[in-house]
Amino acid sequence: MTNPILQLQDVSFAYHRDPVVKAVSLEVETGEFIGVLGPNGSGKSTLLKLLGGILKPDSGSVMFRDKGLNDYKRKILAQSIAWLPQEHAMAFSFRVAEIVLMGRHPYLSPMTFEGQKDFDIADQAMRTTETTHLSERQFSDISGGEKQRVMVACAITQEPEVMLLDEPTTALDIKYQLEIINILHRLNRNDGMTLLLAMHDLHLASKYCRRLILIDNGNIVKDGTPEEVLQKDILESVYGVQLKVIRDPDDGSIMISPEASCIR
Amino acid sequence: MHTLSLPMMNRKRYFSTLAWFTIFFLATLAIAPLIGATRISLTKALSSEINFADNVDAHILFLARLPRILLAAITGASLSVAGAVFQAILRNDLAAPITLGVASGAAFGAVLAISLGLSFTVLGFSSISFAAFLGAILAVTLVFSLVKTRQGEMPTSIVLLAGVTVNFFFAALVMFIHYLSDVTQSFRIVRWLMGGLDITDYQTVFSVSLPVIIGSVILMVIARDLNLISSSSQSAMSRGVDVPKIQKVGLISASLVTGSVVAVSGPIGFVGLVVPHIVRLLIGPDQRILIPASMLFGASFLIICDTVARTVIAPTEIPVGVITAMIGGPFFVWLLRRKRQG
Repeated sequence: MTNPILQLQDVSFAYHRDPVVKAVSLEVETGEFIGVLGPNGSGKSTLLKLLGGILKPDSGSVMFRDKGLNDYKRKILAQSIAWLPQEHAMAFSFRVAEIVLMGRHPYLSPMTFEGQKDFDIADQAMRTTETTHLSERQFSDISGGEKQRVMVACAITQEPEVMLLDEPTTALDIKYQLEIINILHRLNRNDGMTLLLAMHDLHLASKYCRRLILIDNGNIVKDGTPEEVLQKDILESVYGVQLKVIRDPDDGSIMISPEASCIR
Repeated sequence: MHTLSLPMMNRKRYFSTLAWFTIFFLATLAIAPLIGATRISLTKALSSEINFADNVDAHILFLARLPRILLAAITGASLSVAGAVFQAILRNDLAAPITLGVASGAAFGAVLAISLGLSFTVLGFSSISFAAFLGAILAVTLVFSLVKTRQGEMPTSIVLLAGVTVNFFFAALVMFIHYLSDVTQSFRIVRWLMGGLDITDYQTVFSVSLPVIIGSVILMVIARDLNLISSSSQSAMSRGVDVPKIQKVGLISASLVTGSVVAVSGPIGFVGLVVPHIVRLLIGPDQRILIPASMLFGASFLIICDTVARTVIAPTEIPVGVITAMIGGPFFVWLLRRKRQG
């Protein structure tokens, strides 16, 4: 075992009174591709925000490498961990290229402009995510799938070691879902980027992620390979519906489908 | 294969854009003093042959019009930069010193100082300026604490509701103090509340400039952080912005700037709302350029409005707030409608 890059120890968090994340402990190794699964409201988003230092835990500790997140300066942390929200609402009409360049913020000092190096990095990130043709468009005018790719480009521009993505594929059709997840897959395989994705599509998760974490009601129910996590009885008790587990005839990946009795 | 066309937000584009705004500002600054109820001759005003004490044209130009125009410039610049920054921090198109209750908070501070007859100076600021600044801070703190959630994002409707509530609250307090005041104080309060740039001198202009310069420089330093916050405060955090700190620094600086000009000019409406929007439509939302450009354009805008105010039914002068509101009111409605239509 190597040293974990990210580590949660007994972390709890409540927005109001009832905790959303309850004494969760978790270790993430460098280069992992992890899918975070669970019903709506189970605490997936909150868990990612805690890992990214967006929220501070009420109790317990979040460590990046050998230090607590709080011991890092924001800019230093941002050079290592990028977090992408579920929705991308912008109050003002920035252009796509301006949004992507914002990823360079942690590397720039106050009162400065982006230099050639920053433009090159943003350029490369936009090629990777195939968003170059959008660069002059208003962010608010592009489609949901394009927005998601632009935000991934922004995160790449940040040059992080870890990327935390909150349901990057949920609102997209199957083509865009595959585009996004293939981009992420390449980042993981070619650049060794550590990835954690909150997601709902269990089949997509079983195809791409080598490790799955299933959350319910603020607790980790199961943590392991897709084979270990995507089991009929575990999923039925978490999601509260009758399910059948079938195999993709081509690659043997796990597919989940509702039982006939659930369809009325 | 697409060719790359990143909008190069480099120094060259930055300075060429600012150059246009500067030229426009200098032109307004040069032309406005020549317009007024009384026709003056520039050659006569600048003539060295006539003794200054006997030179009526020079008196009008240098003692009546110029300080007033300079005050208009500083006030316009301040309210505009404050509006731009409030809009960015609260991620809201409709945020401005007036809609957030900051201006009425400042008014409350100033009116309280007038009615209590306070006369002290803090670091060279008059008691009214200081009280106005505290009132502005108090209002913005109230609004901010009303809308702040643990999730960190602030819904538009709640920001405006909080702003309007705080605005009414302070307006009521102002009315209450006004009601309790004696005749002399009451006159001073009314005079002040009507807003206006007419009673001024170079001393006032200089004393207002200092806090405005300090506040604006701070806002320039955090301009890129404000860009990230204006796009999304949680994403900004993950990109290395210390969001709570920047929000605090930004709100205090914008309140400092607002409070100092409101103390002198009274609550002049709509400049802080309208100007940042016009500038944003022209050059985009990048705060690094929006802040200086809004200041230059806001200065020009208020000089023009004030020139209209003192000439349109000359020799009677109408308060400049009437003109800005007559332009700003319809604009505000248009903005609201556009916002609702998505």
